[in-house]
Amino acid sequence: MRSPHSGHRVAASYLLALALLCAHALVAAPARAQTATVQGIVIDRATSQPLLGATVSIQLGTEAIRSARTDRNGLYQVGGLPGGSYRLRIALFGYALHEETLVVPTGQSVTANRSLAPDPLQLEGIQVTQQPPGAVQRELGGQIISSRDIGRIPTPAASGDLVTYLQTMPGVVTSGDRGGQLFIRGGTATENLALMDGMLVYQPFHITGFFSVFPEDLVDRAEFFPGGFGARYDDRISSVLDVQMRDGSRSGRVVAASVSPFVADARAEGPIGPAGAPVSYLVSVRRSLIEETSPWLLGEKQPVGFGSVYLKISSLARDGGARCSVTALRSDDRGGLDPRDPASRVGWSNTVVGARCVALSGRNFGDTKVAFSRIANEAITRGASEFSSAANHFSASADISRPVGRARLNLGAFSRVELVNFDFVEFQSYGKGDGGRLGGGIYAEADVPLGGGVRVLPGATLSWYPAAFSTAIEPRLRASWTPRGLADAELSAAAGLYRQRIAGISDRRDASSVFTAWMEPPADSELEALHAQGSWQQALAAGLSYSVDAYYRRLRRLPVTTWSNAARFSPELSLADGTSHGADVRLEYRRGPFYGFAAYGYGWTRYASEQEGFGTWYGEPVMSFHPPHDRRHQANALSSLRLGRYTMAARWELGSGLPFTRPIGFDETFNYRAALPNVRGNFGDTRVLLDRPYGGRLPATHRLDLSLERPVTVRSREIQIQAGVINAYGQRNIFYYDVFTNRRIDQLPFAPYLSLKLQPRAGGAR
Amino acid sequence: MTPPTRHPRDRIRRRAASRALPLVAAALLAAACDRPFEPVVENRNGPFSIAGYLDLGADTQWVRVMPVRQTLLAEPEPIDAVVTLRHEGSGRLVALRDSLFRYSDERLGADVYAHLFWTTERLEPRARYRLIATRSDGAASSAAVEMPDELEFTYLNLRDTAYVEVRAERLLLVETFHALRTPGGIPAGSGARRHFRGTPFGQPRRFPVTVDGAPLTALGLVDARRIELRLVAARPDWPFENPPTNLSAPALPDTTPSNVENGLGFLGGVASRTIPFPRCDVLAPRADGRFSACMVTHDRRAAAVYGRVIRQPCNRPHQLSEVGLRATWTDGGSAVLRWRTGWEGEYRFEGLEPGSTLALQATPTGPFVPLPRLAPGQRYQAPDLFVTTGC
Repeated sequence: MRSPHSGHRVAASYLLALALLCAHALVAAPARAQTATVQGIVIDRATSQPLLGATVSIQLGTEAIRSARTDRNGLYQVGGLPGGSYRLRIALFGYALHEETLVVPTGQSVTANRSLAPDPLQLEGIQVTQQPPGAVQRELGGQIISSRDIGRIPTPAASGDLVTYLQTMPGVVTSGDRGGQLFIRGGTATENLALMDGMLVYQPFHITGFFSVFPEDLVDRAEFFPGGFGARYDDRISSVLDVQMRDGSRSGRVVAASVSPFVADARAEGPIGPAGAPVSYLVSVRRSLIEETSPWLLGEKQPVGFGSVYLKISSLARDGGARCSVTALRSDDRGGLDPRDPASRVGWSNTVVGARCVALSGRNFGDTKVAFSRIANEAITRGASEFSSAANHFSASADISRPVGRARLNLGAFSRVELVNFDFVEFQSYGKGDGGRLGGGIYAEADVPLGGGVRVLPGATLSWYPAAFSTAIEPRLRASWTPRGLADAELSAAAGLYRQRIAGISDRRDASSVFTAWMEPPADSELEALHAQGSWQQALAAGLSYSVDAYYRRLRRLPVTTWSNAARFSPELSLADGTSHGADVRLEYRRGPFYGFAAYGYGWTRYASEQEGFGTWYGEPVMSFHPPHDRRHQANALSSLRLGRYTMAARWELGSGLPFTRPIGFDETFNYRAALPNVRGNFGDTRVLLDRPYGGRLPATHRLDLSLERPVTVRSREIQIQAGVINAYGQRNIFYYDVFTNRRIDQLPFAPYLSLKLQPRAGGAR
Repeated sequence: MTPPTRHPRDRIRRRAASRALPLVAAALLAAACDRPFEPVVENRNGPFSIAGYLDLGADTQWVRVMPVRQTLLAEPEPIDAVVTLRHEGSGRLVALRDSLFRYSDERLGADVYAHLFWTTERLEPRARYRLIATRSDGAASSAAVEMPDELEFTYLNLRDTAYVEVRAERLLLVETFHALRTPGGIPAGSGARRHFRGTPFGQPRRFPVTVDGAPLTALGLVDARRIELRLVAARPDWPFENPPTNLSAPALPDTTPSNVENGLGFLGGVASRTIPFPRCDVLAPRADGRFSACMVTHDRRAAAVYGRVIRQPCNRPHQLSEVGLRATWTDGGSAVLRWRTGWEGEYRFEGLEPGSTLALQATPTGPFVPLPRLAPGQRYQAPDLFVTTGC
């Protein structure tokens, strides 16, 4: 029989092997002291943002003898070079090619920080020197999302939003156009890690499903890992969304504003000091308008609203080799998901404050962060129950990256304090609790090119929370193979063990309940997931590419609310194990002014939970069920076309029905245990009689969104005018079925909109 | 030049693709087709939900009978049910009468309604009854209830702490009800206090209970020192666990077992007694000890006295005044039991030994009015007592 500790032994062996590999690389480095290294940071000349994915080649004559791609910090490091004179070539889609001659002394380290000039011809698709990143092209399973990608998706606002882009990805499930929750590859919304400049954001998606705290205008780019992420990320078991916010303009002051029936925003940015000063600011304020406009726009008031205030102050060294920033965000969401139920309300607020500095010093690249994140949420359900919960997260971390021969070693250490509390007041039920954990950990990941197009990234995270959880090792392994002779083709695979030490509990019997209680999981019962995934992507004809992905997850110790027939939220937790698997196919085509994307995703998730109540009600103590985010089929199609100054976009989505628990009826129960009930004086506790958990499926939903955009130039300003419609053919899509009131709540009906955005003319300051 | 030949595997792939694509398209179209959404599953649990208990100690039996409904709120709709109570031994059948009760549900901000069926039929100890709720189409839910024995107990209360020993197969509940008033003297309902009971000692059917009769502290209210003691017993197969040790722990109503056939809910059978909680002063010891003069036994032989105290000349009830009952037992022992009148001037003394010499005192300093000797089981209504104060 397998020992319960055998998994820990395997993980320990893996970590030991990784440590030996790192030690060997470090010890062996002096032996290669006669080889030189070239490193640097590549930034955008216009925005000063670090550029990810640029190909840096060291050429001898016309032959590239070494090459590397810039990482999320714009960093490249090319080691193992004999001294000599080389050609340095930096290429990235959308930017003019950079070439220069570089003299590299033997055994020395040369730093070459460079900036690339944007090339409008490439952006227009007229002159393509390199395949741009997109929905198909990914690196090691991670997807790079640029603000340009975000802007393609029809959104009922003047600018796009990251959340609407994510919703087009197969494997990303939402319960509808409200609620602000994403379920990725079988995981729940609270199992996703969202980072803003490296700082945790507990709930980045707004209550209206089209918006998040990551609007197109503020985002530089995002990396999205739907699973199989590396050792750098920890404490979440489903996915990672790592968003890099852009710096404010350093070239001049910019004021922009936009308005649509759904949201209005204003943005100001500029250098602190004269134009070109190294320090800049960016401040943005957004507020939803849907509550005010919905009565005449949709014929029914949508009682939801959100707002956010964002500030970033950043400084950049003259050569781009170091940058620091201070970022602050406050967002608030409030409202009711059922327009006809004024007694039920939910709300949450995020607060994020932090500072980050990155710098390249010699051969070492350092990244340090200090951050505070908080979420406070509350709900009043059906006019009686009051829930509140809060989580506070303090963290400090330091990462370092350095080349070791031809490999690269990433090391990091982190410490965090997380405090949670919850308070439930409900009829005949009261729950209150708090908890916290103090701990830290280290991680290591090596990026080792093995030759033949094979790249391996073994890594592991070790975490230590002395008063709460046992010391744990989470081994991770990622690998890719780029076959010779096939253009832009890559086979990648990833596997890893992931643990999460905070649980976000929602009453998933009731889809309307987006209230999340943040709690500590039961002692030493951290959530655990084992990921295994593979991906093949390939460019076919010019502009056409496809990818095929498959994944499998084994899930353990997922906290779920203890099943109850009483119509109330319960803080009592039970544990569930589960498995999830799926596959998706993506097809992308871009040619000149046309862009097209189509995807189909298949997913299958099932939990098994042992609960006392199951035995009482259904005769089986262990029940297997498909959780309410188990969407079996999902399809998305997206296209955009630029004709002259007009840009047309269309997006169609289809999702098969989500599981829900079918009700049988209602009656009242009385408590015979603590006292004899007075059936004359008391009405009793209303109970919804439920069928087996999640035995039903809601109807499939589908929707077509359209938009048409045209800029109008007025002197030095540009007005972007966009007209569009959400749910163009007026499909009646169910949002959720409320088992407690036996009512169906639908998503948005046919919703036209017109948006205006005032900004500096393109080509001027941003 | 020879034309390029296709590898057989390519043909297989193309054929598979050409077959798979229509299947995928068909699956998507099928998924997109709109189907009527019918979420509610047919109720196969039986037509009615039944709740309550039959009580040997109650004058009227009340039973909640409700259809399993499909809406959250219970509307004031007539119920399609005939409810009867059948004595399983004799076959005697009694029809219960329907009453519609209205409740205000603050959580939902709405009024809700429930049907309660009632009868004044006297129930028989240890008898088996069956309550049957029948719909007009013949569908019926029923619950069989086996009644316990009459409740018997001894009781000793000198000051605020009483010692009770209950003879029962299973003791469910011991609680005191304290009449509350505002500081201005206006009635403010009552507060309850539950009391722990010990496990049976000596003989297995005897439960010792210590009852704390100290004044109840209620926010802004005053304990009027008029206390009643309630004891409830049931048969040993009562399906619920003992009351939780932590009385503030949340109850779990959804784990209610059911004894309703072809239906939902639970109908119990209990024997309850609610008696005054008088204080006792020993006047003369009995043969078996001084304090036994204050020990009274509640059983089938016990007699009772009840009546009113009236203020004169205004003829209004004398509220919350202390009434005394002097009892001189047949063996010469004697004690005075004291209890307070209610808001209508009413009082009662129970557990009295038949044949004793009894006398009532309307106020602590007033004269004693002799009463006749009482027969076993007799409940004697005393003439009104009058006081001349407070008008």
